[in-house]
Parts: sequence; structure tokens; C-alpha cells
Amino acid sequence: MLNSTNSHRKDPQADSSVSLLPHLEAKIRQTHSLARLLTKYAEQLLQEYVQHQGDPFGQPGFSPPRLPVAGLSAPGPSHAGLPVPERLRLDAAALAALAALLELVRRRQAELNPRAPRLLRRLEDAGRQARALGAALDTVLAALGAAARGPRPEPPAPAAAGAFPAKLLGLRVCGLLRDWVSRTEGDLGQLVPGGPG
Amino acid sequence: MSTLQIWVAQALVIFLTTESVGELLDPCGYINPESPVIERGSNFTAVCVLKEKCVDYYHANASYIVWKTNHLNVPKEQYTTINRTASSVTLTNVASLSIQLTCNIFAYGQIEQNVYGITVLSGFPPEKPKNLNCIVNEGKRMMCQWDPGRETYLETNFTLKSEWATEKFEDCKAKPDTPNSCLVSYAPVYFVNIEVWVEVENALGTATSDHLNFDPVEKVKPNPPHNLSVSNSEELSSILKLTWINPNIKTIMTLKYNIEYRTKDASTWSQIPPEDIASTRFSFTVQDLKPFTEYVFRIRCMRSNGKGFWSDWSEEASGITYEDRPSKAPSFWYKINPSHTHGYRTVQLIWKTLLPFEANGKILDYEVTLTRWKSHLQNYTTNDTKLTVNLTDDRYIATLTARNLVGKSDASALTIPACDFQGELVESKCYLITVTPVYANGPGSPESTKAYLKQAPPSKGPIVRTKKVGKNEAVLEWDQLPVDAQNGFIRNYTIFYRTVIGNETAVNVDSSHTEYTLSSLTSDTLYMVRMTAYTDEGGKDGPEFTFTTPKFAQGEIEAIVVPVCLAFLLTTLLGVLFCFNKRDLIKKHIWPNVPDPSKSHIAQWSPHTPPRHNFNSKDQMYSDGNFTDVSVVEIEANDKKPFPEDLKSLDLFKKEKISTEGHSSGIGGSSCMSSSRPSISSSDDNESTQNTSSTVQYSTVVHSGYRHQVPSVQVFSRSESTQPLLDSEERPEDLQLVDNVDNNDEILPRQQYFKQNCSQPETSPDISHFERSKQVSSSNEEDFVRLKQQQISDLISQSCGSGQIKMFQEVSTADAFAPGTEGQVERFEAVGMEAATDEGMPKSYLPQTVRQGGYVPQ
Repeated sequence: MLNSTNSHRKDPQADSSVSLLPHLEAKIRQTHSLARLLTKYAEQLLQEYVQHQGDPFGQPGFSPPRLPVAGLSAPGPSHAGLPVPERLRLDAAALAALAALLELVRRRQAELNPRAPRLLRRLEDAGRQARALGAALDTVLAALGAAARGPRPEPPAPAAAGAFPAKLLGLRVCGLLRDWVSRTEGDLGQLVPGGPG
Repeated sequence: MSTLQIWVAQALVIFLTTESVGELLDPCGYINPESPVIERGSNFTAVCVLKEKCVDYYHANASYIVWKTNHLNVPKEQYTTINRTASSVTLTNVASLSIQLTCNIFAYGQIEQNVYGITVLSGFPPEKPKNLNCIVNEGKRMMCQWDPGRETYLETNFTLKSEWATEKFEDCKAKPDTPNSCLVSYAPVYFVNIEVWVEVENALGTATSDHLNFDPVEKVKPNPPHNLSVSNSEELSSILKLTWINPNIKTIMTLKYNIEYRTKDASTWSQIPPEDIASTRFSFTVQDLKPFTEYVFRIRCMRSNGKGFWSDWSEEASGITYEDRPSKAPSFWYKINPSHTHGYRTVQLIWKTLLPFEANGKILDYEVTLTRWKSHLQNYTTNDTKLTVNLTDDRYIATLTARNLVGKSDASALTIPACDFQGELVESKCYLITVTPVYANGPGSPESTKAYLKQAPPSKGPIVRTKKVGKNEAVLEWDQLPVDAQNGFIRNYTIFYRTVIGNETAVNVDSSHTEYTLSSLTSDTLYMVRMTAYTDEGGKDGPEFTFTTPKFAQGEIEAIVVPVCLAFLLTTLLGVLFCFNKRDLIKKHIWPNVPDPSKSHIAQWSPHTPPRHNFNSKDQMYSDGNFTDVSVVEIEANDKKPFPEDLKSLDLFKKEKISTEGHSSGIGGSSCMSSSRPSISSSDDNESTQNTSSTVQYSTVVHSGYRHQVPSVQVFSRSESTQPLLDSEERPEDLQLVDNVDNNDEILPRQQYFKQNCSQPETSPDISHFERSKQVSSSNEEDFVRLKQQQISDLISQSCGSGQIKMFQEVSTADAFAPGTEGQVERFEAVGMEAATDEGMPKSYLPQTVRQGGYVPQ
């Protein structure tokens, strides 16, 4: 898998269109399916996260502030006019940042909720899956001939804070994960033959 | 102080004790290697090294060492004494899995003491694991399996490694009791390729399997569909509808199914065509089932693209198809009670129940109808299988139907004879005797047979006829005799056939046949044939039938005629092709072409002119085929230089001629021009003329080109007619011009003959011709010619004849002014006179195309 990705990055145009197109189409379909699956997982993760945070999380009237997360922005409407490869590049960058943030959240949750192994496992899996989806996007981008992205800076670790801000951060990260994965699914859907694009 | 002494004493005791114990356990030597593991079948060498203190203590050295394996002495030949304290032993082709090897020494030369012992293990290095494959049971972790290879007989560890492109996963170590599989500790993530491989290692080496890269979704074994249920349809008794709940995996992949079914009592399963259930669904209607039958179903699923594994079968579910009307009428018979009272008799009707596959449901009741006359009906309904009724002595017809929830069966009918019925058997009549067994639970299968009270010969014989008659054989056929004519069982037939003069031949044929082939017949022969049918009591001849064998077999005539016809056609075709290829030769010898003089026309030849057909539409009337032996004479320039006098006269002639051409062209036709030829050709080269005359029989000289065809100086036309020339045409002076021209090639580079018709006044070619003429004329004559051109232009709209007369007159006049051209003047005057004469009366030498009817072949 890794070798295959690298070979595409070296010379995305090297393969003939005859051999590349079926492979590319299959890869796009696979990545799209992964994004769709992870969207569902992200929704489940968000629900489970809320369940383990205690009050006021999960209460009907609770509406936490949408705090900005360092190194990661929410998918905004300003991206709507961008071409699909550019949107996919943004998706991949966001997923890479999310993977690191999810690990951070998992560590804080391990302190705050050490008796929630399923949540911790879900957080760990979510970080791993976000990396996998980002790598798959990179493969698709390379096959499309889009320029490979440069090294992504690791999001700065937030300063140690209290339990509530840590929970808020986790909630925000889980929400962003859902949003970005969902947007990735939509972006890839435009490339799938027969899709909306 | 005392306490200190006590502590020191205790420590000394412990030290001394420890040292003494250590000395007791200290072996006298050791074996190297300590824990060997060797490959099975290989050689192994061990060395026993004695300690010096033991050598001294036991008064022994390495030569006193004795090696033992599993308490048995090793042969001395395998020992090697290395030095005073060391001895080695080599074990060859070690086959035992475990060997206890001990080093022993004879203390004091007599007492065997064990010095040291080791265990030698043998086995095999691990082989490369093969056939690595993984399966992802839905909702469970991924398990991979592989072929571990041969038994190593050693402790061997198998480790399944796995990684994504982005990270590695925790190793999965196979349990010792299941070295060929491992269940990974993490949940699989679909749609992300994972790479797995197996690493194996033991004391003798390591090996790695091939890497396997796959998407876990392609290795899924779904959970089976559950909650399978079966329901029937009241509308259709041949269907059952299955419904089920799909496994959760359906949310990420499409599924296909296998559905199998069987009747409850059957052991083999039938399968629904897989193509009918090749996509995700939650129900299916099975058709073509038997009514009111219990079926058992089961279902399984897998990914629709075939990548992955089938799920286990679901739990079985059963259902019963809905009822249908009985498919068969019940068997039915009667018993008549012999007691007869007051004109009535007791009749018991009996039938048996239908089999389940005939009843197609639960039989609710039976309906019996008795008909005495056509209008007398008696209906009975019962759910029993018998019915007793009192009937009159009349004849009855009874019908019986079975009814279930859906409907009634067809009716079975039975005739109950009248009471006075008495059978009377006669001879030579065929009777069908049927016996139906009656058991306690109903009737059995009836059996029938034919019988005669007494047989007799047939009342008539079979009528034989031919079905097909060949050259040497004939196929005879006949009909079975009617039963009334048989009078017994037909045992066999005999066929008699003969020719008119030959003996009769008889052939016996089995009675089951209705056809027989007579073979070895003679062709073109009349045969008479008859048949006799035999019963046990005798035979009866049928009528005689005659037929004649044909002379030829079918297709024989065609086989002769067709090749002959083909040969004839081929010969004819070849002859035609030969004649076609040699048609010119044949035509010349058999029917040489005699041109029709009335179709003669003038040919034109000029290097600047297109072919003849460009002359005009009138010329095109005469196709090339009309002209045979057309000779075109090209007169090339002659190297022979003429005498000065000749040059002079010729030059003059040339000028004259050019002027004449300029005046004559475009005004009149060749008839007008041809008259000038004899005048111009005033040369006295008779010999040359004769030569030309011998090859060109008819020729006419014209002076002008035609339309765009501009002859260089002179143009000649020739008739292709082979008719004898008229006297005037045969005169040498008429052809002198040809020879004259021929002799003056220095002036005229090339002269051609060509044809030209009259009555085609053309203006422009004449003008161009004048321009040409001017170029070849002298400068003194040039002005004069221009003057003449102007005059000619004025005259050009006049008619041919008159125009020509005027023109030639003027030409003559013009030439008269030219110095040194008197001869030519006279000749031009002659030309003018001849042209004038032409207008009034045709000359006999004129080409036939010039004037209609102007020449009559002689």
C-alpha cells in the first residue's frame, strides 16, 4: 500500500490511462466507501463521547461554545467554490490534524474516564482511521496528478487546562471529525463515476 | 565484643559450609556445547573437558573418558582424544529427537564416574509459511490462517504481522497448539488495505511468508440472514414467500444469496437460481411448488461481487403451500347386493381416498351423482369413502368428485348395468377382460387382457402396398387388420412376391410389423405381391398388388445427364472465349469489313489536334468500329535537301498553300477544299505518288484545320473505303500532293491526314490558322496576307459554296500579284474552278461523307 502510494507520487502520469483509470476508479470508490463508513463511526464516537462526559454534556439544552481549535478549522462554505482536488487536499490536511488531536483527546480521556475502555478504544481507532483516510486521499490526489502536499505541522498541544475545557476540546474534536469526514465523503462522491459530480 | 565474636564465627561457618558444598557440586568437567540443537540427520560433535583437579584426584586423563548416549556406550571409533583433559565425540546422522549425551571417566582406571551430561535436541528449521489467507467474521476480529510447513520437532514461534500504509499493528503470536492461525487483537477497518505476513522462527532459523495485501471488506464472512420466515399465498397455491433480516454488514456492501429448499421429507436440497437473488433483498417468492406441501428453506449470503466468504446457513424455516383443487378424480366402483326386493336393488359405491399430492388439500367431502335417464339425477354428498343406495333395475351412470377448500376434482364415471344384463360370449370375438382387485382400504390397480372364446382365421387378408420402390428394393407397408376382421390373435404375416415368369418367394413377418423391405429385386421388372395374415386357426390372403421396379435408381439419370451437360457447356464456353479472343483474325478471314461508303468521313491528323471524335457531333456518328484498316501515314521530315530550284518553287508553293489554307478554312467543308488538292499537288514525283497510292487508296486533302485543330501547314484526309477508285481519283496527279509533301519535309516538319466534314463553318480556328500561316510566311507576304484576312473576315458569314468561290478567286488574284508564283496561280485558279464546279455537280472522287449520295460503290 505504501509502496503503491509512493510510486504514484513519483510519477502520477507514468502509467498509461488504460491501466491507471481502472485502478484510480477502484481507489476512489474504496476511499469513498471508507469515508462513508467513517462518517458513521464518527457519529457513533460523538454520541459515546457525550455519554461519558457527565453533566451538562448530553443535556438537551446544553450548547457549548464552538471554540477554535489550534491548527484545525471547521469545513467552511468558503471552500465550496474550490475545485475537487483542492478540497480533497484540505480534507487530507484536516484529517492529519484530527488524528493528532484525537490522540490528545484520548490521553485526556484516559485521565478523566479511565473506566471507559470502549470510548478510549474508539478514540484510538478514530485517530488511526483518520490517518488511513488521509493516506488514501493522498493516493487519490497523486493518481489525479495533483501536487503532493508538504509536511503538515503538528497541531500545537493545548496547554494543560481543567477538566471542563478538556472535555470541551474533546467534544469539539469529535464534532470536527464528523464534519470533515462527512465533507470528504461528499467531495469524493463527486469523483465516483455515477456520483453527483 | 562477644557478640562480634559470635557474628564472625557464624560467618566463618557459613563461608566454609558454602565452599564445601560448592566443591561437592562442582563437576569434574563439562561438555561443550551446553544445550545443542541440531538439524535432524546432521552430524554433531561434543567435547568433554576434564578439570585438572579431577585428573589428579582420579588419576585419570582424557583417554579414560567414556561417552554414552541414552546410557549406551558410544563406539570408541567416534572418540577423539584431543589432549590430556579433552575428548570429543562425533554423532553422525542424528535421527533421534532428543539424545542424552554423557561424559564418563574411569576413576582409578576402574570405577566409572559420570562427569557431565547434556541433552541434544534435533529438528528442522522452519519452512516458509504458505497459503496465507485471512477471514473477517462479521462483528469479530480478523483471523488469518496459513500452512506452517513440515513439523520442526522444535519449539517454533509463528507471528502474524500486519500493517497499514500509515502504521503497524500489534503482532499476533500464534498459540503453540494452533501454529497455523492467529486471531488479531484489533477490529478490522473496511476499505483500508492491510498488509499481513507471517514470520516463523526456531533454534535452527527463521522464515517469512509472502505478504498479503487486501481490503478487509474482501475477506468478510457475513453473519447469516436471520429471522427467516415462510408464508403462503391464498391466491397461488404454488408459491411461498420468504422473508428474512439481513446482517448488519449490508450497510457497507451489497449481498447475494443462496436459497435452498426441500420438501419436509426429502433429504436433498434444491436451489433457487443464484442469478435471481444476486443483490441485496429481504424477501423472495419461491414459485413452482406443489400445492399443500410443506417445504423447508434455508438461506445464506455473501458479498455480491463474490469477494469474500459465504455466511453460514441460516436456521431452517418451513411453510406449507396453499391448497389447490384435487388434481385427480377418485377411483370408483360398485357392489350390487344380490338380494332383490320390490324392483329395487342395493348398490354400494366405494372409492378410496386421494393421495396427498392428488388431493392438493384436505378433502372435505365427496359428491356422488346417479343418473338413470338423462334427466333423472340423484345427488349425494358424503365425507365417507362409500355410499349405499337403493336403485331400480335400470341402468345407471354414477359420477364421483372430491372437494377440498379450493374446489372440486374432475368427475370419475361408472356405469351400473341394468339388472337384466346377461353376458353372452361368442366365438371369434375379441373381449377385453378387466380385473380390479379390491382390498380392505380400497381398490388396487386394474389389469386388463384380451381374450377370444375361440379363434378363427381372419375374415380378410391384409392389403399390402408399396411405400417406396427402388431399383433393387421395395418397401411394403400395410395396415393392421381391424379387430372385427382378425377373428383371433394375428400371429404373423407371410409376404409372397414373384415376377411374371419367376417362382414365388415367401417371407414371414412378425405380426407387430406394418412394414417390410423387399431387397435384391431386379430392376425394370414387374413384381406381384400379396400378404397373408395368420391366426392360430389359419390364414387369409389379401389382394395381390403389382409394382414395377424402375430401370434407374433415384439420382442415377441425374448423375449421367448433369456431367454431360456441364461438359457441353464448358466446351461451348471455351469455344466462345476462343472466338472472342481471335475475333479480329476470324473477322478478317471470314467476313472482312466492307465499309459503307455512305458513312465515309474525313479523318484529321494533326499533332495539335485532339482525337477524331472531337471534330463534331456528326463525326461521332461513325464509331471506330465502322473503320477497319484505317491507315494513318505520318510523313517525317526528309533529310534529303531539295535543289535550289525546288526550294524556290517549294517555298512559293508553301506561301501559296498557307494563303490558301487561310482562305479556305472555316468557310467550307472538305468538299470545297478537296478540290484544291489536285491543283496544289502539282509535283511531278509520280513514283512517290504511286507508293502512296498503293497504301492509301482513297484520300482527300484539305487545307484547313477544324475548330481548334490547327494543322501545321497542310492537312490531308483519307477515306477508309476499300472500294475501287474512280478513274479521276486514281489519277496520279490527284495524289501528287502527298508525295510532293513527302519530298518537301524540310519545309513541313510533319504532315498528317485527317478527316473533315463540310458544312461546319468555323471562324475562330481559321483566324488562328491565319496567324500561324503568317508566322511561316515571309515578311513581304505578311502584309498582304493580313489584307486577305480582312477580306476573308468580311466574307466569312457567307455560305460555303459561294464563300469558297469568292475566296478562291481572291486568293488567285492575290497570288497573281506575288512575284514568281505564276505556276501556283494557275493551280489556284484550277482549284477555284473545281470548287465552283463542286457546288454545282459532285465530283466522283469526293469523299462520300461530303455529299449525300455523291458516291455509289462500284
